Amino acid sequence: MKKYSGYAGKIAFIHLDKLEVDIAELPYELAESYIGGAGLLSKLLYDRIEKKTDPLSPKNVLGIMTGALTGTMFPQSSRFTIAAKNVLTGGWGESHAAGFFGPMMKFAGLDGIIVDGKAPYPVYIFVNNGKVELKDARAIWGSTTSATVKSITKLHNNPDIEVIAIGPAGENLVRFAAVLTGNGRVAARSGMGAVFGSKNLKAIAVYGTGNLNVADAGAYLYASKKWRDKVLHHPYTPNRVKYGTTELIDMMNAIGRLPTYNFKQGVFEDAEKISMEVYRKYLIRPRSDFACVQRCGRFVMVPKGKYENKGKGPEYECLSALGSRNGISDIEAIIYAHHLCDEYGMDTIGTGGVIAFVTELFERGILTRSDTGGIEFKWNDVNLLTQMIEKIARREGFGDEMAEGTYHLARKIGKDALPYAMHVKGQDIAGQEPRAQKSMGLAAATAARGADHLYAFPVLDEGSVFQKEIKEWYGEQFLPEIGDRLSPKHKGYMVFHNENYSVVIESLGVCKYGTMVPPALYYPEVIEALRITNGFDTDEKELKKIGERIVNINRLFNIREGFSRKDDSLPKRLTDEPAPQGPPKGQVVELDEMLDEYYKYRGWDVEKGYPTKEKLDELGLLEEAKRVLL
Amino acid sequence: MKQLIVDSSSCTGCQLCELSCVFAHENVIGLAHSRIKIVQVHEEGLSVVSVCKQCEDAPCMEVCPTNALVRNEKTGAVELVEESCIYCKKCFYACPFGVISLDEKAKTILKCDLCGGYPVCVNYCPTGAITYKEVDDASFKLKQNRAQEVLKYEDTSFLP
Repeated sequence: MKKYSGYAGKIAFIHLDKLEVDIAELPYELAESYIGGAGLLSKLLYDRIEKKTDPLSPKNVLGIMTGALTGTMFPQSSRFTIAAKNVLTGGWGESHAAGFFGPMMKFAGLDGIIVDGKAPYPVYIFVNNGKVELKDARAIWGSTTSATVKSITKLHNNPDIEVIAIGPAGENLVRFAAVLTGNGRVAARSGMGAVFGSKNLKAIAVYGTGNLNVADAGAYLYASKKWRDKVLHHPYTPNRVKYGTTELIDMMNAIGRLPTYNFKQGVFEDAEKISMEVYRKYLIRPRSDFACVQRCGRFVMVPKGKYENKGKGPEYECLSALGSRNGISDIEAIIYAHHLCDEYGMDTIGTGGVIAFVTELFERGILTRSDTGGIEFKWNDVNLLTQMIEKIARREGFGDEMAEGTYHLARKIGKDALPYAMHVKGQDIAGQEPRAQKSMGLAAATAARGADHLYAFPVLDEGSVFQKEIKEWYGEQFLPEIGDRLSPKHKGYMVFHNENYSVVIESLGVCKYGTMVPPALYYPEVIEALRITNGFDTDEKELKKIGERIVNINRLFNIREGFSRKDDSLPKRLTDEPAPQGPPKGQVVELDEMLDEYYKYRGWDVEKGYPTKEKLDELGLLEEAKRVLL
Repeated sequence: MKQLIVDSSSCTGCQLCELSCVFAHENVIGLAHSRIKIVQVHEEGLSVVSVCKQCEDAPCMEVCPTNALVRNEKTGAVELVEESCIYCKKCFYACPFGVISLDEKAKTILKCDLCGGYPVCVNYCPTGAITYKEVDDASFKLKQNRAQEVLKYEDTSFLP
């Protein structure tokens, strides 16, 4: 078996039941077919998680994996993936984060960690230069995320140690609980924090002084400088540095794509109050994650008053979920609410989503104060927002019900409530109003982990600045409709193409900023990086096939749990109710038409959305599919 | 003489300087063997950069019992002659800035050599926090940066 460079070369298998650790060599032959990170976990966990496993039971298997380029000099190579069976959807679950943890895990000698079972008491995993230990975490159980990181750092008396941790929300099995890194980056979606909690796993700490070899050392410095320059000198980058992702509030509101009042509309009348310029008043400085030249991280401070706090600030998704989606226009309150979500360890999209959902039920009289223990829900109520975040995280009163997440709560309330649950497959839709951008609607419907903008991340058609790249990526034959965000035409192809590329990016462990938007780096740079870093001899066709393979094995995971075309759906509000105002006024998402086209490109049957035998054969997945389909 | 000047207030903490330093010296990717060091203070949103100042009256040279540290007259850098180093670590303790690191495995010290007059970290820093300049220029730039920091706070009435 050929060993590729750029990997640490080892995976730790941790059996929490017996508090045992096995260290095995990285399966390099799987790296050839799945690269690493999210891709490799897709295969490893597909083989290990049994059908109908309860996601919060000890039988769920949790994976933490770095990508092939994580920790290298490729721009933004900071990312790692956490995956397990999804707590919200019961299907495939994965979540990704930046920070410094992934690179440090590789320098500590591990590409990944696979965890099964449940520890008899709270523990944390400590990896020190290849040595893996399970340490008692009873003293820090109950701590917030930042306090956990601080305690562990102090305990080992090592400022260079990197920690990921859950907060009280994860311990209390809040279905949308998150895992945080030491610098406040969040693996938020799919409820990975709750999986940590269900396993009595509080944190993972890594430290190492190791190095990674590269395949072509002579070419490496020159090439990495070239990639860095392409991203740094891209015309889009100065605004990223200046505003981070907060400029999207202004951009999305202008095109009517900013989810407002639980997706009733895409225009927020108070958007100005949470806009990029207002936000900038609270900015202390931009922050980078590992090898990041775009610096979208925001370090912010609310200097005084009720919402006094400082730390990593909210980005676009948080501003929209905790802000416009709930009609909230007090930016200091949003910054503080985001800070609370981080400390308790919760996904801001899931948190903002469920609060907006309950508020709409109140508005419609489906819920009243007698259902919520006396709490009145109304739009633009900042006290309600901060109060409910605490109640959800601690599962207090009605917060206990809301901790189940929008979809599970809706099912409990009954069929009156379901139309207002803005979810796909059980996970809340992120900050994209799809009636204003059709590709995002399709992307949310097809994403393997439930509603998600990042699995396909179709962003080139958002505005009009990337016309050249649209032609390059998708081909002239699809112009001009493919670049028109309101047209459903060719969006099946766009999402097909993007998903294949995006899962590869996630398997490399690099950021989608720089590789997808702005599209400064693309297949040629990825191929070059895989060649000179890892020694892979690959081409665009092969990489696209790897992308397809990953998407298909994620699909098989979901099919095994009973998912089919009927689950690739959107709430009726988005497909049947025309957008009430702004630029997308009168628009609905033409989902069926786009899905048909998408399945055609995927090689899936149109009726059920199952991969055909020919497609599975082409991707080498017949063996995997046998247990499910054939 | 040109000097490597770091301005932590412009640093956003990407660590590309460390990565490029390690690769330029060791031909591998890593952080531990970097001659330039970043200490991350995430809770304050700060990254503190430190690198050898190539002191005129260098304590490390003074204490070295084997004369393993010698001045490069062309660049002004204090460079390590590896064959002479006996890994007594006296320089490590003598350095007032703590910018000499230890390589436990190779039994040698790690110290900035200005890459022979073309410091590679400068080329990778995306924010301009590291510059290689005549000292006068650099001090002017630093003062300007400080002034801007202060102005920013004034502007938003963050100061009491």
